[in-house]
Amino acid sequence: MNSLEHEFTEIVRENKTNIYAVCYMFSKDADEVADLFQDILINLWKGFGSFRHASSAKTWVYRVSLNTCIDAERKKQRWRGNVLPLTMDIDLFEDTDTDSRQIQLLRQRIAQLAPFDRAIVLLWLENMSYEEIGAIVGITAKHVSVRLVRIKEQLKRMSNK
Amino acid sequence: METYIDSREFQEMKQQISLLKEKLNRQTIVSDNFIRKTMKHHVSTINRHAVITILICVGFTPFCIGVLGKMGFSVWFLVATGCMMLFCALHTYFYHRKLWNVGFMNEDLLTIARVMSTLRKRYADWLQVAIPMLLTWFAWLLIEGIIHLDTELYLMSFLPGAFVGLVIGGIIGNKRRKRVIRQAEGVLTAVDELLQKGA
Repeated sequence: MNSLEHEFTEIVRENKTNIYAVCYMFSKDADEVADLFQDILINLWKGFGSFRHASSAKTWVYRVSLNTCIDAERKKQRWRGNVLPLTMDIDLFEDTDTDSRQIQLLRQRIAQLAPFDRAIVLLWLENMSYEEIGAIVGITAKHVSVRLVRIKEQLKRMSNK
Repeated sequence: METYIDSREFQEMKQQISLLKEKLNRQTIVSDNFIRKTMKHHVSTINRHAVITILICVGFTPFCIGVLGKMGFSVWFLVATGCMMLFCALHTYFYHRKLWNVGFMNEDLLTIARVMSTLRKRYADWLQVAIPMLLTWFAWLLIEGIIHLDTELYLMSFLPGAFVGLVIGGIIGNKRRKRVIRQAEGVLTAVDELLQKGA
């Protein structure tokens, strides 16, 4: 493995949970998660050559991950080729322990939001600043702030129903 | 800028995302094999058409010059044909160069929109260049045919062949052009929708 490949592998390892979390929030089942995960890795690798460390690796990974998921959401019908299986011994869609149920509740809440709002909430849950979120999704920090207030109201309405 | 929004829902979600992260942190998720296979996976549909166009232009240039040369056409015409083909190849390359460099999934939405918008405009304007260029070349081709070919050969084979070629080539070229414009518009619409939602 050359140094470029090694660096890429390290970035993927460090951000694997972030990538998975994004895939999980944009998927309906474990197969779709694996499919999206693979697409994201392909896009990360394709973009790795032009990644100049102007932003942090985490920000870059989030940007590529969210763009991939939003693009997949837009296309609706996805081509399913040979999807490589992820290495996990849990199933966050099927497990019924207390923690898993909480996580499923989170996914259900986020799934009701529009893809763009899903992206903003996910980044906010990562404790990113409005500026960082704006830089990733391509809007101003002020717009992020306004959007989050609307999302909050939307989530409140959902929980009141 | 403040990053804290007080909301029961948001606080619950923060706890839930922590649970998710804790669970995921205990998992391998992605094996070395998975990453390696991904890195070797050279799939690129974006700009594939551009690459094909460039290859056709460059690859067919010697062939066209050879065939027209054997028919006895003038050197100036052969040079002009070669230049036209290479111009088309270079034109396609420069149209797509920014898109290649951008890395479609790698940029924020505004940058993608800017690049796609430029690409769409260039393809939409391409007819203003292509039609005069093609018609001039075609008229010259017919004149060269009159000068260098037998009348019977010219009327029975060359003329119908040239017109059929022009029509088929024109239709294929225009279809490809419209397809790129449609794809660019699709991306722009999606970006637009996303940005409006974010506004």
